Amino acid sequence: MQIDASPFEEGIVLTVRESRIDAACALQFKDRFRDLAADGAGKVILDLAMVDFLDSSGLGAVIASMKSLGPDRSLELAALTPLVRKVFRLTHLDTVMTIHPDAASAVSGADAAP
Amino acid sequence: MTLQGGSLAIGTPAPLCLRFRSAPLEIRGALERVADWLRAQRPESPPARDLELVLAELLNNISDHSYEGTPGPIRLLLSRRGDWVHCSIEDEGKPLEAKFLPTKCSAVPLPDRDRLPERGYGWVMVRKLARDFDFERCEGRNRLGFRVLLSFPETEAKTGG
Repeated sequence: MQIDASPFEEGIVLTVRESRIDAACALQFKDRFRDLAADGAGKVILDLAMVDFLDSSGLGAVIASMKSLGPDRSLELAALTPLVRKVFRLTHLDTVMTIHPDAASAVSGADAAP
Repeated sequence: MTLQGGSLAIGTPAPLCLRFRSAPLEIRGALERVADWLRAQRPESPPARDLELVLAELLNNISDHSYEGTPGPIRLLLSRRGDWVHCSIEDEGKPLEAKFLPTKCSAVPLPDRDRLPERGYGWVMVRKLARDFDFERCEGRNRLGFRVLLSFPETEAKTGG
């Protein structure tokens, strides 16, 4: 599971360099996320631009990763591809998570997302 | 005799029949074959990937509950009829109990962020994207039938994607 980390002023951007987060790699995702995010502070922006498939196992891994940050740090999502966006919409998770059009606007806070 | 331009030659793609085992990477491989088959339905403007998502959830369910994590054989049959894909999944594992079938499910409650459930979303999606479930246990096999609408970009735009 390749995820790249790049810090910015208010936290860290994690860019997933895989096309799928599914049952075959959900555990690896959680482990890698924890390794990269555990020691930092501030918000975590998860850039999913390269992920074109996410099943409920992958979704569970994203939620578990968000909860692993603890109450003082937030996880925000960026650059959802069409199927991934649909997964968040069908489950209504798009109503409880912050979703940005792309990583750049997530970092700059330039978009309308709260 | 030529079939060129005939309705049988165009618009009636061959059914897809796959046999594989319920190991996660084999399931992923089967889903990639399904993705190719979906794209072939209309290469210039392929349908949405709802079918892959539904199959991923149901195949993972068989892996977890019918075979309980020990890989066993699965047979998947997909055939297109008009805008619908009719699906049949067979396995030779334990009889699937009603609670592991997508026939009943309720919405997942979404409390505040720190108490969000990590499971239960699969059935929510399956119930929204597939219909006409038909389950039978026969001669040591589970067989689940259902159908999924082929949703093309123009209809996705109308329904909000």
